[in-house]
Amino acid sequence: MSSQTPVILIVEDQPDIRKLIRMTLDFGSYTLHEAENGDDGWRLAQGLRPDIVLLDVMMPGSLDGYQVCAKIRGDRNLLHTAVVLLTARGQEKDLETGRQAGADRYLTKPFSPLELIDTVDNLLAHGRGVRHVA
Amino acid sequence: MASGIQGLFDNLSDGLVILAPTGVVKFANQMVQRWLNLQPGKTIAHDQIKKYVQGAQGGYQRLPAAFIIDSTSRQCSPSKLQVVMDHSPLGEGYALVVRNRTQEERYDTVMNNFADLFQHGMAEPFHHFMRHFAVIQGRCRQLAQLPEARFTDADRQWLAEGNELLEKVTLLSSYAFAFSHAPLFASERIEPLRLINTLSARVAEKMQRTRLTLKIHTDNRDMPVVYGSEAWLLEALNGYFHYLADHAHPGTAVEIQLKGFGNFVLFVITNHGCAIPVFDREERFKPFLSTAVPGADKPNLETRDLGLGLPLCRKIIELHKGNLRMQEEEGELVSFEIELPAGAPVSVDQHEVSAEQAKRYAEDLALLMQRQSRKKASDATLQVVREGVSS
Repeated sequence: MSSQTPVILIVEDQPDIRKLIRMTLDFGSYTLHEAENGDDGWRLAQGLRPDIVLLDVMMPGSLDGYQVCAKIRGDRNLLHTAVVLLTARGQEKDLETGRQAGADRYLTKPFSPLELIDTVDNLLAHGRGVRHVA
Repeated sequence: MASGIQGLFDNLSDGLVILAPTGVVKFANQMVQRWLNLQPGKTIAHDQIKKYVQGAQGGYQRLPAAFIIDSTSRQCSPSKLQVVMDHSPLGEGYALVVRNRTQEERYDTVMNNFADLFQHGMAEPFHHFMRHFAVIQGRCRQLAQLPEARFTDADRQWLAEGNELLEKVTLLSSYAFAFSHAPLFASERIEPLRLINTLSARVAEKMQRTRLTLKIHTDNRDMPVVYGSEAWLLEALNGYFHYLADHAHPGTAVEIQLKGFGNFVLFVITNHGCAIPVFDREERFKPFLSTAVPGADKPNLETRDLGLGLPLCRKIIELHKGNLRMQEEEGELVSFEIELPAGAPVSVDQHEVSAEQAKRYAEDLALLMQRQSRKKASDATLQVVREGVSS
């Protein structure tokens, strides 16, 4: 990444959740970008090559969170990008699907803003380009 | 309003009301005047509507708004009315479209009662007796393999009728199981190809018996997923396959094509055999339809379906915000198309953060701010130290 401040892409279909995430991350120094569905999220991820993608799982459209995550993991230009899945689901099966898709972290809604900031900081502190399995 | 236009609106089966911002009735067609005792020129007296008008005037009621109200008229037949309220297209004020919900509710009640009967009255007995049915089914299969010569016409008749009965009981038990064990409004992640493969395994025996072969085609590498109830979508497809197996020409192929395009997933099921005549299509989608001729000795081909498969199929697809089409191509080629929205359904309340999420934020916000002010204080101290060192 050429930018000094970490780039975070928020992919979430609910505008108010996007706003809350943005409010939370405004406490830190990040460059934030938003997408409201998986297709736009994937397109932006390819262009921005963000450090972290905060990715909702259940979204309308042809790509859901797991599919976007799998695409990011399959893209050589995005090897440094960490993926945090945001979901209302917390079942073992869903965690497994997330792991299979290559997610680095999994936050279950309603997630705590502190947990979100800690997750983001933790991923960044361990260095971009190094993936850490949750 | 011009009398011609008034006459036009009076012919609507729905009610139409135009209100001034103050709630005074500027226009009401005949239907809604009857349902709500409205009088043009007077302030609307219905308490629920008044609240919505006041809310919209006060800026705390979002429009368009949809709500259910009780009818106030003593002479009107509907007791429940559905109202959709929006800004008036004619100047300031509000427009309301009022619909009679009673018929719709009666239908829903019938279906809900039927579901309850399945869920509470039939699921358990079916579950217990399925083991016995399986044994009987096995015996029927053994009997069917005996040499033809050992069968009388009566035996064959018994065997055919027994098999048909068992098949319908199995289908009913499967509905009962779905009713009692799987919520219809689920948000399971469903991979279309996996759904079709599960269906294929489930209908394999029936297809084999009716000498139909199943071919599955998919042309997308990145097939979108759908969200909903896997058990119920399986029931929907199973319902259609039972109908299809009874009507398709034996020895022919049934093809399922899976296509993902844009924001939809399309299942196209094509078979050779009797299509539903265009004039009769809506009838076939009504629950418990029976086309049996009263007094007839024996059901004909047209009455062999349970009368539940197709309507249930349609209802399930519609509840998943999808739609269903049936087309007859080139004479006997019948194509049945199910279109489902890809990805998670768009939530009605998607602009509202859940109460739980809002609570988590409220709880953490104070801590976040504390953390932020500590960080600022620490940065300021660091700055002072740096300045001290440099001076």
